[in-house]
Amino acid sequence: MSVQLAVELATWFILLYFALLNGGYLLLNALSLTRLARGLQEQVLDELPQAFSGLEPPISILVPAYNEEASIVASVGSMLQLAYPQFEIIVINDGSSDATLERLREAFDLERFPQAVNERLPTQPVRAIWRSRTHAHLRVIDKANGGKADSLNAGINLARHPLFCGVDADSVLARDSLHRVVRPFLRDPRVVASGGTVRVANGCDIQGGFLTRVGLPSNPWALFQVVEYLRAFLFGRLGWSQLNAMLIISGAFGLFRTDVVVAAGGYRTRTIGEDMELVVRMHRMLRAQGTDYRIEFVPDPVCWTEAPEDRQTLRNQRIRWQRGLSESLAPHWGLVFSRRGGPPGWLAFPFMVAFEWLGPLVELGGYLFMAFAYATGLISWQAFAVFLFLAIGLGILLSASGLLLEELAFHIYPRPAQLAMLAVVVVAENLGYRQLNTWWRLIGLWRWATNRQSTWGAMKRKGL
Amino acid sequence: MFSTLSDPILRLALGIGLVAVALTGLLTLAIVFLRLRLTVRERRWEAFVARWRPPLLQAALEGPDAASLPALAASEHGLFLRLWTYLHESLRGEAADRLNETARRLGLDASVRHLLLHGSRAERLQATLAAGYLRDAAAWDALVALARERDALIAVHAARALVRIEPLRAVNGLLPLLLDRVDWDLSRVALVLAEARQPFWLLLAKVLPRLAPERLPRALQLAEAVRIQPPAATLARLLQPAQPPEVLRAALRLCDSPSLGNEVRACLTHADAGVRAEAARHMARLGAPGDVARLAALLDDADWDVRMAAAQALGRLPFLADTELARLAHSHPAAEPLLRQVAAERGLG
Repeated sequence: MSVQLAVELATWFILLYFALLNGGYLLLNALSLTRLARGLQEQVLDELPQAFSGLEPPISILVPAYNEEASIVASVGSMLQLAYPQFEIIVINDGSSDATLERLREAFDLERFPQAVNERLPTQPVRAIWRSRTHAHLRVIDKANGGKADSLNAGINLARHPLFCGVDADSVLARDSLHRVVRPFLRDPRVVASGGTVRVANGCDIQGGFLTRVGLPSNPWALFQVVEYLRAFLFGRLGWSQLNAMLIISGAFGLFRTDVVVAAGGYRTRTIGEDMELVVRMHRMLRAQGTDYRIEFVPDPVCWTEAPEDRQTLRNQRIRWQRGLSESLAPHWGLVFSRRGGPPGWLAFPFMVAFEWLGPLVELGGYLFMAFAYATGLISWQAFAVFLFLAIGLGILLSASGLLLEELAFHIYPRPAQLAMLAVVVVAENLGYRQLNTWWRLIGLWRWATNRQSTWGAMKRKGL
Repeated sequence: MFSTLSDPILRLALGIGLVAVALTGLLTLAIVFLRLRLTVRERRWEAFVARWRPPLLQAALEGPDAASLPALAASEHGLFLRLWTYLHESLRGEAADRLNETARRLGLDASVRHLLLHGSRAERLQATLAAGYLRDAAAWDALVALARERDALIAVHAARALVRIEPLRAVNGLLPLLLDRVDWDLSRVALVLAEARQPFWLLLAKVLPRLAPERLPRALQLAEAVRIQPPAATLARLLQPAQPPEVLRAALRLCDSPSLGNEVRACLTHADAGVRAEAARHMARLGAPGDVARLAALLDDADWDVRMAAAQALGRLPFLADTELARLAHSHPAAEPLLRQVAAERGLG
């Protein structure tokens, strides 16, 4: 094969890859648009005072906590004020080495309680169960360290209600978040899980554990992530949800049917992508059983999280996420193109493998190949420029479409200056930030391939 | 190859890139347009509320004659319905009637009927809410048609409007839909039926004995939703062991009469764990001293939920002493942690 032919084939492959990647996202975007438009038609109901019928299924909120002494009391305090008829909160202290448990004991007047545990899922040993004297529906599990997935499993074992909601201890929830995320369960008995939209809380005002004013962060890293989250949630997940092929529900806020999760074996403990792995496993199990089920996505902003504001923390997070993605996909190859795979096995899983899992390899490979070919004279500067123009142009188009969906359905950034700033970020994030992200994801892929150990991972936080 | 822009592959790539840039420009314009439209709409809404809220509240308190109502342009009917519906959510009795009278005088009833037939989805949804509040009998046929629509949200709100207009007739006509449309959000259906509890009770008592087994769980679920108690004789028939487990579970949740004690006791040994657990829960209220042995036998059940339900039922039996609970814990090791929890709950009790 001549060098020219190799270059030609490689160029076609890269262009085809970019076309499929962006074409796929644009299709997801179109699907999201139809769903959001339908939601807008129902706005007349959202404006009315919300009445509970008392028939909303009770929910167990599970809050894994590892060294959260600084924020746990405020977090639990705000969760206790959620607007929902019946729920319990189970905080799982995962062998914290700080004063997480002591803070909880003092703030909520905890006492040891001989609670019987239905050991449906294996976990690290539980040292004690505490119950609040002041809030009857608050309990705390104190257990040996086993990671986030192990903590969630311990919480499931103690959960009394048919639905459970996994929540990150540092998440800020909207007061009506449970009400919104339970709706898919109420209108369709086939629903086994629903995920909510997570937004970036940096730059917002938080008082008493609730968001009181939406703002944009001044930190550029956090600003880039605002647009990234819009893209990921508003057309990534919402689009797949329309096809009943959503493969991930964020660990920061997701509602599940307890019995289905127990039947699937609970969260897998030896992974850092336990949220995605569980959803993929549920798809696989329910498809294999021939069960008619739905996994839904709620586009309303129900959960706010603190995004990393420094390069190192962000890098670590993205490396972890890519490893989590790898760990979630690798054990479930059986779902791909299987007889009963349906949209998850025939569309979402292959798409995820080709464009999210191997994406960093091809994207970065593409940039490097083009740079190499240009440097060695195999392609002209015009060809190199056109490639960059195409890659960046399509990236900006996708980010802009995320912003359009946000403005169409939620317009939560009220000031025109905020919108203008987001428009600038839509362009700017494609000029270095996305490429840097691709590099970090490639490192994550490499670390997964070389079998490095999975951990919770420390995240540097400013605090909300 | 790839040396000049005359190469087809480069031209294609450049073309796609230019299309992407053009689309980005269009999206930007769309975003700006959406924001401008939102701003205009919000200002218009605020101005409308400032103009209409005081006279509407005055009309609700003193009647439309006492209020000086501004002129309402046809283009403002949507805004009026939005404000009027919102006010209706917090008003009852005579104030709500006066609000209806005000809307009729302004010709809104005809406008609502027009929207029910010819409006967009959002307008039809708004109109179903309004027709229900207006108790507009003239909208009956249009609402019946909407209640049969595939769109579950519109259908369930049309059902609610029908119930508000004429509860007995509505429940009679809607019963097949209430039983078959599992896509109707149960909590919304409960709100519908809460406004027609008596007619629904009468109808359910009549049809329950004749319902096909596959419709029974939903019917019993609705009864539970609106907290109505089917006749004991009907429940006794539904609690026969030959009934499907889902019917038994639903029927057990409705049992409140001591006269059904024997039927509930028979369910304690049912093959389905869910039925056993539900029956055990009910023994807390129906249980007599003779039932302690039956519940104690369930402390060794293979299913954890059944063991827990039995332990909790034992703990709630008022005649069972703490010492007896401790003895049971000793003789049933599998249930010892459960009984320990129950004993602690008794202490807190």
